[in-house]
Amino acid sequence: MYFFAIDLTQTTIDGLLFGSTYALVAIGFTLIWGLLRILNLAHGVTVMVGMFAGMLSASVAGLPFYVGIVIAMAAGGFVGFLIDRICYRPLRNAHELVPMIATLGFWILIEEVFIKIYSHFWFRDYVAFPNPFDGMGIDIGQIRLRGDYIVTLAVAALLVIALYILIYRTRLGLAMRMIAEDHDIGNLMGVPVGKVLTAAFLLSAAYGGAAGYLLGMTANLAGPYAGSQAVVKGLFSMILGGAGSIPGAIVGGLSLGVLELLSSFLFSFSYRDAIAMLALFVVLIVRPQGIAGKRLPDRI
Amino acid sequence: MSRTQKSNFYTVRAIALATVAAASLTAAFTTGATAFQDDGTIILCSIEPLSGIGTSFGQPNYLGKVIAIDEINAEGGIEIDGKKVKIKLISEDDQAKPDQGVALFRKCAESEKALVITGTQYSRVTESMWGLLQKKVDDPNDKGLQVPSMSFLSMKAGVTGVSEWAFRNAGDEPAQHELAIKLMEEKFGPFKNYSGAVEANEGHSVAAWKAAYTPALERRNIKPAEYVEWYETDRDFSVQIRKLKRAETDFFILSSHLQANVGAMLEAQRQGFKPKMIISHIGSDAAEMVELGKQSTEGIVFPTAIHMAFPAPKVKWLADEYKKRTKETYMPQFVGLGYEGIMLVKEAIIKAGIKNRPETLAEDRRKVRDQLAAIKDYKSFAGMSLNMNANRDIVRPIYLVKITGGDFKLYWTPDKGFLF
Amino acid sequence: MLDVQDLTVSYGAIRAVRNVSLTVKAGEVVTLIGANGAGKTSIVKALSGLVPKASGRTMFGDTNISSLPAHQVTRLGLVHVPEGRKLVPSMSVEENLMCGAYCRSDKQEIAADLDQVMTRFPRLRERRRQLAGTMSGGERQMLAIGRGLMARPELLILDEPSLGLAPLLVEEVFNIIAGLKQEGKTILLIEQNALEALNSSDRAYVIRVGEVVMSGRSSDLVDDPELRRAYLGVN
Repeated sequence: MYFFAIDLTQTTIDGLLFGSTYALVAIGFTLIWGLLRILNLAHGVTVMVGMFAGMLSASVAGLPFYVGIVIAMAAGGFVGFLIDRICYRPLRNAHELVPMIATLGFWILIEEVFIKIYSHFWFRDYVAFPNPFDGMGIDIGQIRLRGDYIVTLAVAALLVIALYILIYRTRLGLAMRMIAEDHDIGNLMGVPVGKVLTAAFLLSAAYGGAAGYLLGMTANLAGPYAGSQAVVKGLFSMILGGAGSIPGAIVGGLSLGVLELLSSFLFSFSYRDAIAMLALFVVLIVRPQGIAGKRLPDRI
Repeated sequence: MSRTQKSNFYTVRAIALATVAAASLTAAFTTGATAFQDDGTIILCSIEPLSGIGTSFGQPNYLGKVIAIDEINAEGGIEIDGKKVKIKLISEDDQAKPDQGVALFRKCAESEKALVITGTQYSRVTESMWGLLQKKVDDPNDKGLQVPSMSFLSMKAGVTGVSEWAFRNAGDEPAQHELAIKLMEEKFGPFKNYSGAVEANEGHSVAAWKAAYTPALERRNIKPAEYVEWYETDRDFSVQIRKLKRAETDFFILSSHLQANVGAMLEAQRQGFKPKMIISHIGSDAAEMVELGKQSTEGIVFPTAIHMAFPAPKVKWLADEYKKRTKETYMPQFVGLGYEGIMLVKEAIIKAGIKNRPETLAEDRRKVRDQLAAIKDYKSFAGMSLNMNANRDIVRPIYLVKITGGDFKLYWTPDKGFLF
Repeated sequence: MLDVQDLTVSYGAIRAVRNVSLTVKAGEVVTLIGANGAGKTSIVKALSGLVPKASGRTMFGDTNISSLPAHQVTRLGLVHVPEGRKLVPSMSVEENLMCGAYCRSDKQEIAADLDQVMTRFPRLRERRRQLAGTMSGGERQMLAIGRGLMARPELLILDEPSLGLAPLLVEEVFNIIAGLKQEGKTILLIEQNALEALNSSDRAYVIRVGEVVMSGRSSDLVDDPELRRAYLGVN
């Protein structure tokens, strides 16, 4: 019973800390969903590219963590720029399903090409991702907070604060909030909507890149399928928390982290995903707008 | 990610892939395969996971095949119907995805007109591919594909039961693990708490647990002290490792592949979970275990079919050849099994007395199949004698490997016992 | 100030506006009247660039805005207060007003204008921290007009400002328009409420099925018997 209480606490804390990576991925989905009502399925590519840019910066170039994460965000951001130019801009006047399918195509194409290139360079399923925080941690009684998980949560928190400042304290943020309500409002107020959307794609993708770095670092591994896995977790977090709401993405991501580990701990490993799905189902029945979603059309 | 989630994306992806596959199939049909006796070639297909998940097993196995075929062709080829013909190897990449494997298998059988199809690695893919085959030879009502296929190791026990056209050179896994447990108990026992970890979305690991490890424990009247599961794509193993640690596990059975093993063992190191004994299976036979797992994977013991430290000179030659082509210093068993497998197929082709003409393809395939089924006392390049059993599995001796000092060392052999 | 020649607007195969020509001079209040669906809103949406102009030539001051994107049209000073207000309900009143000043960077003058707008509409000052989504219809219309004024418009286009408002509030809206007119603001007003629109404007264009069917001084048109019968509902 003593161990059970300790392990329950430990598992919950691990879930919260690890869930912050899911939250970062979900924020990326949320920004684009909020502004465009498009599920950007290519978002996973930004996670994968961020992960590999981070891995290369750390293992090949030997750059420290804080530089690596900036590089990962820049690399992810570049992918976001491509998604905007290839999947969204040329198709912006088409039905909203069309750019969504384009992002699906982009995802498959880039992932398949990337896997081919990857397999050419590495004779491996995974490559090592140096983790400078491995072995570090803070002990509070019997509970151990993993160093790399603390760093993950800290980075995620910093990025969330930065995002809030951007949205609520800057001109770009004001423009995004107008566009999230209605593109015409932006147009009528003189906002260059296309440029703001490009900025949103860049921003969302940079967050994906950061998530990629953190996911790679905490697992000590980088693998070419990381993007696909992130898409599932990120979408799930977004819907669970409340589609299109940034607090929702954060709550959804953290909840998913806790939910996954707790259901492994309390019930069953093999039904972990099923239990998470069931929880989503129940949440959506009770609160169709998600845990933190608002009924008001507050989109970002 | 669960299997269901995964299959969801694969469905989505399959739409795109099907288009590509359809296009390539059409191309293959229209160009037509030019080979056979008049051109002096004989076609073999190789299906392997050459990219994506499974690369660590597929690439070495494929290279073993390529080295064998290069050697055969350098000697002028195989003598068929009084003429030396060269082997043309058509290589396909299934990316360890069943849907892709099935399309490629059909392409190899129908449009490439391969005499034999070799592959693949992941049992879930092999099983799906072999589902296309005729179940029983000579069954006129079964219109399944009639082409001999041999996997140079899909480990899932009983996987050849799908079809009489299916063969396997992988060893008897229940026997392997029984032996491993017995030897470890004798040398290091007694153990108090036996626990298992299974990669729950990977067919071979689940089958190994059910068909090999569980019966071995039942024979000893042991109930696992703890049983945990994870998926090959998991990133956090904290809960599973903590449960194993709480159960005071001293005999740890790791029925899982390197993708999860590395993460799990790193977590074990983090939590200070250090069981007295860890045994695993072929999923641990990859350089990543030591390269990425570093100290955390030290001491893992697993059975092997072929090891680079075998005394037969041809084994050392193969390891050198592999190193020359890949710069890898450790040769996993997949290389030797790939090489050996092609040599087995070559033997069967020679004995079958085929004509190697387009019109005799069906007949030739049947003759080769019968010869594969009849393999007896075949002398492997690795020194041992091989026999095909009634389940169409090659029966071969068992060796053990131990991860020691960041390397995979040959640990136990049937003739010498423990080597260190 | 605004000179439109042969403007045509198409939605796919449907031509909603056909060869409309109209002018607005500086300091004038011009109104477009016509039945629901006559194409009035399409005309002003085309003017502000929200929908593309299929053909015709539109000059705003010395600038040809025939194919200028909407946000650049706004920057020239042609400010469109759209039908349905199009506020951001999740933003406060003050934030919505600041949206109108999006293109401006003169901080002090923006603050002065904000103060001025709130003086003009005291309700907005009272509710400056309240979310726009929680305001009543009349307050929202004031906010929309206030937001338009924050852009310092050369030409203010008001699309159906009285739509959906209670009679008392309709009167208030027209009082606001009268006030703006007195200050010398140039306004293009779209209204279904033709009588009120004619009473508060200098000139008018009557639109029917996408075409200008009548135009002239508002004071003349208000007495036109045919117009009275067709649009004003009086004999």
